[in-house]
Amino acid sequence: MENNIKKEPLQMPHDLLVDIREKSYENKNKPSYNSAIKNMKFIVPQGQFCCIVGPSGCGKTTLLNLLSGLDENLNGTIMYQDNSIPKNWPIGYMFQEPRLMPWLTVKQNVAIVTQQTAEEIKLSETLINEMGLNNYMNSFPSELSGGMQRRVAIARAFVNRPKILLLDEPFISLDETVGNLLRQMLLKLWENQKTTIIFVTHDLREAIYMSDRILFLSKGPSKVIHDLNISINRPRELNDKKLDTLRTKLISNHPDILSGNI
Amino acid sequence: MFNKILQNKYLNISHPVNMRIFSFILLLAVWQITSFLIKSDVLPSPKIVSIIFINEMINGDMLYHLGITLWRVILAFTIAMLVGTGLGIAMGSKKNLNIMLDGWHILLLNTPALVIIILCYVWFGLNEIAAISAVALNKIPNVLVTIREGTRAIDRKILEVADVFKVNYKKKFISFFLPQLYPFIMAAARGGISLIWKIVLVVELLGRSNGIGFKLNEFFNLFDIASIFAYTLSFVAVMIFVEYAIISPIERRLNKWRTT
Repeated sequence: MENNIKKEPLQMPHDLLVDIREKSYENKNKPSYNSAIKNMKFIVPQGQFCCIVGPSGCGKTTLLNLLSGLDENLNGTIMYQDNSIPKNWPIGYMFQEPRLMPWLTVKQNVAIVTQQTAEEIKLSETLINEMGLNNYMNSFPSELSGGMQRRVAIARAFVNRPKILLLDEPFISLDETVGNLLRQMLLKLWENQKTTIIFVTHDLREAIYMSDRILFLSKGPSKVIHDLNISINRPRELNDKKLDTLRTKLISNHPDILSGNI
Repeated sequence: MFNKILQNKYLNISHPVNMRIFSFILLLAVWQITSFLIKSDVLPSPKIVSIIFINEMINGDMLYHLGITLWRVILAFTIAMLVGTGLGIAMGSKKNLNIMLDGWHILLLNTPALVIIILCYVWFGLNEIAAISAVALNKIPNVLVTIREGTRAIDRKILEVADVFKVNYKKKFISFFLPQLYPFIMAAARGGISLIWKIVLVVELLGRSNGIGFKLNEFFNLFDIASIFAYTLSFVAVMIFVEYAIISPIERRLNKWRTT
């Protein structure tokens, strides 16, 4: 697969441009024509909260791997602010699991991804405080609950003040109360920092509550099949009927949208 | 009152420290009784061994030989750990390198220690380089096996965290990779230190003119069993000190997060 990242003029400056002509499976056992992503193109303006929704195995995590630079093997273009994203450029990332270092304390886990200057260590402490974990600064991950570990992961995702934050179903397998608390914490940090967020989820209600815009992906090879702007004003309430109304309307208009068909 | 005395942790026999002390006293008692029953020079009593030990420490050259042997142990241990860890990480991470070097490794792992010692003395001469090389070469394959398995067991998802946050290579290795390897490094170190000092004695016995191994050979020729006991005990005492004063505290520090 050729690594064909070309510099192209952007329609809107300071946006994230994703134009993937093809991304094939790395697995050699799968036939080469079996692409994970094909003809996927979208632009995310700076500071937008963009959700990606699609069926299992449609290439959502592959897309995040490409955006984060974990996987650089693609035929296409990923650019930010008119430039290809440099290799050492800080990107925030939150995985499905918290992925904390069990041998480091909460404070060390957040600060470890920075250059650990005095200012960055102070910011780590501030973010941990904002996550309500000020009493757990020197605790190890094994002493924290699943929800608290995810709060540490949120703090770590924001500590480098990333321009782009990628989240891969970060609140999966949490109970509703804890999940909602973490969603509100994430939104608060996003509103303060105005980071561009790409948030992958299966949960349509979560996507409507959190995002400015939802991109629906098709079954593999993946591409954008529906682009929906969410015009509900912020701050949004979890029990706001508008969320459910929009969800119901969307599903009734496009019954197969969550399975990648439209 | 009697119950209170029994409950006191300093007097309670079931307390781990007291059990260790009791076990040591029991060993001394068995040794004393056996030597009394045998009444032979082949098993001198603890009292005779103690007198020789103190005498050698104060008036003899035990400390000099102890120091020489300890120096060789430290040097060979350091070389074996560094080379074994480096090769273990490289072979655990790179499949092709492992295929290339695995045959050599198995050959070295199964070559008897005595053969390696003799060959080193023949090839390099009866000198310090040959002695240290022989000991290190005996231990490197064992360290390599442990570290290679540790490298294969590394959680790649943790390394991905370093990748997405663009952590530089040096920090990724020191802060994300090595800590996962610490239990394996400690296991290799603990096994290594006990094996290395035993091999050092053989190396000294065969080709050096100082060290505990050399002295043991001298006492063997003179059939001085009490001195053999005294010198052996001196080195065992040093190794117990190394275990409790150096290795165990390091291990406790590295494993602090596991015990919380």
